[in-house]
Amino acid sequence: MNSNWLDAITERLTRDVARRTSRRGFLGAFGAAIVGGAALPVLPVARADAAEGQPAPPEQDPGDPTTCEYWRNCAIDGYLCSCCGGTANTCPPGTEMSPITWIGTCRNPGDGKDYIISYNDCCGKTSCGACFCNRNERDRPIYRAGTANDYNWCLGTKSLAYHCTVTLILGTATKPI
Amino acid sequence: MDFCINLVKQDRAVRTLAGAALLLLAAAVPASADLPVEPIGVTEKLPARWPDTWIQAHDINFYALSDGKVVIFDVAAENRNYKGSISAAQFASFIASTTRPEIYVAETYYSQRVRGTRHDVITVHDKSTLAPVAEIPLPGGKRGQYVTFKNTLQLLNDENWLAVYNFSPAATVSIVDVAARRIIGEASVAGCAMIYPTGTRNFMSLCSEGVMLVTALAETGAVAKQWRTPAFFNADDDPLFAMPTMIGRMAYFPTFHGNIQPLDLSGDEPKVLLRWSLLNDADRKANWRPGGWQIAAAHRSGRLYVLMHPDGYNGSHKNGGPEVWVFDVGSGKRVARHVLKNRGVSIEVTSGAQPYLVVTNDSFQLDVYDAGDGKWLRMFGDHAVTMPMVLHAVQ
Repeated sequence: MNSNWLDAITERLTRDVARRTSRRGFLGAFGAAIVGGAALPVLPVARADAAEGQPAPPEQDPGDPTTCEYWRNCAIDGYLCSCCGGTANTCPPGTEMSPITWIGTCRNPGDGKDYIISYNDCCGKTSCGACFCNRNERDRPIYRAGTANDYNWCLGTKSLAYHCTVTLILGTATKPI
Repeated sequence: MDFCINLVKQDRAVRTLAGAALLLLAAAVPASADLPVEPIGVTEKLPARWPDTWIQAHDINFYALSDGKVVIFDVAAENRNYKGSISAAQFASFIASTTRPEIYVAETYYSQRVRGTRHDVITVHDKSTLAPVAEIPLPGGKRGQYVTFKNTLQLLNDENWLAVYNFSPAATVSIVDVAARRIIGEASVAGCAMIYPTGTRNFMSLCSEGVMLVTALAETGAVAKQWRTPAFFNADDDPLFAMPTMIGRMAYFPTFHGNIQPLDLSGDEPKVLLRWSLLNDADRKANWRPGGWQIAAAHRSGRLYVLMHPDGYNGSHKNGGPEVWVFDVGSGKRVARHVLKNRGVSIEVTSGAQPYLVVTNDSFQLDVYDAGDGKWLRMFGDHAVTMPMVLHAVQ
């Protein structure tokens, strides 16, 4: 049974994806400091062990990135780029990745570690429309911008038209944010 | 193409037969005067002051954000409840004047729709014609964009000024002279967000460290003074939802864990009043929490309406809920639980003496209830709205 209103959207758009949890948001994020002098905590981030840019073996990055349940999507609010011509960490053709984002902390069931996830938006085209997810773990209201997924985080891009969202690993978390 | 032509020919033949049948029928009834010739080009108008059974539904249209809109509905009407609409593009903000026959939309356009030259403007619409009558440029490409809120575009100074929230991601507020149609000031609200008018010309913003930033404006619209209040909430443990509901100048902010934080915004210095809980022991045991998007509404009679869900968890604060709980703000006591016909996402209460509870449900249709006894009355929306996240009762 669906308990999330965002499911209704997903079902209307893509009836074959009953496994998805939907959502409504947009994102981005990162920089609390950018938001301007706020007393936000320094991000407790450590670099992951894997070499940067190298794909992780499937057993260490388990799950289907085209589903809302995929572990990196724990705080997402938007369309999954994996369903829109991109991947979990690349934008679809013809779009531009926002350099400014908001972040979440998600536990990877593959290795049991907490990772800092950067929810960068891909921008410059109209809404993707596929795989709408809205999970909101540790999401905070708009006055705590660095962990707020209600902003359109297409910032610093040529166009702020929101298309979809990727889920980049920034590093492991020494404590949840 | 031949197939199409054949279809047209068949259609004409059918029409000819139907026409002949009508002529025979007409010959059998007494002759009457012809219906009058009707003029071309007539367009409806709305009254300059709108009835208190009307709401303005802000449809963010997440499927095509460059084409959002605000639809005006009469929720008391069984039929013909769609009164008109205005455009509200690209994560727009909306507010209606109560002293001028005007409504305002802060919005963004690109010259090539989703690319090209960016234009941020406040579009001024006439309440009778629903036509745009002016555009106020918002230069700098910094108008904030977010899932629609109420407190990102507000009226100050007896509705002579508009205040617009910017996020680039530097957080600032632009002050606009409504009559002069131009910007007259800008205040930095770094580390904070939103516009909550307090007193006559002042506004406060909520800040991540649990304080209010109060901005006092001079008669010119320039910043006269800013100060931060002592901390009164914790954004980690029990954040305030950013969209309160108002009774007069009293703001009621629900918190994630089911408290109400009242703030008195009638004076130039906002006052933090005693926090109270929506929950009794049984409610806490079932983990009832507020949740959704526009989760609280209020009526001048002193009734507060909150959208609630059981089995709350970290991340359930936007999931909507199956019930609306009604409280008396004077006593803090719950006076009713309205079980919704369809799970709700956003709620609003109309401002008349016999108020309606209007709910954006989880299919993004609008359900209308009697706000007093919670009886479901009607649902409408069809495809008129795709994602009406924020509902504004006509005041």
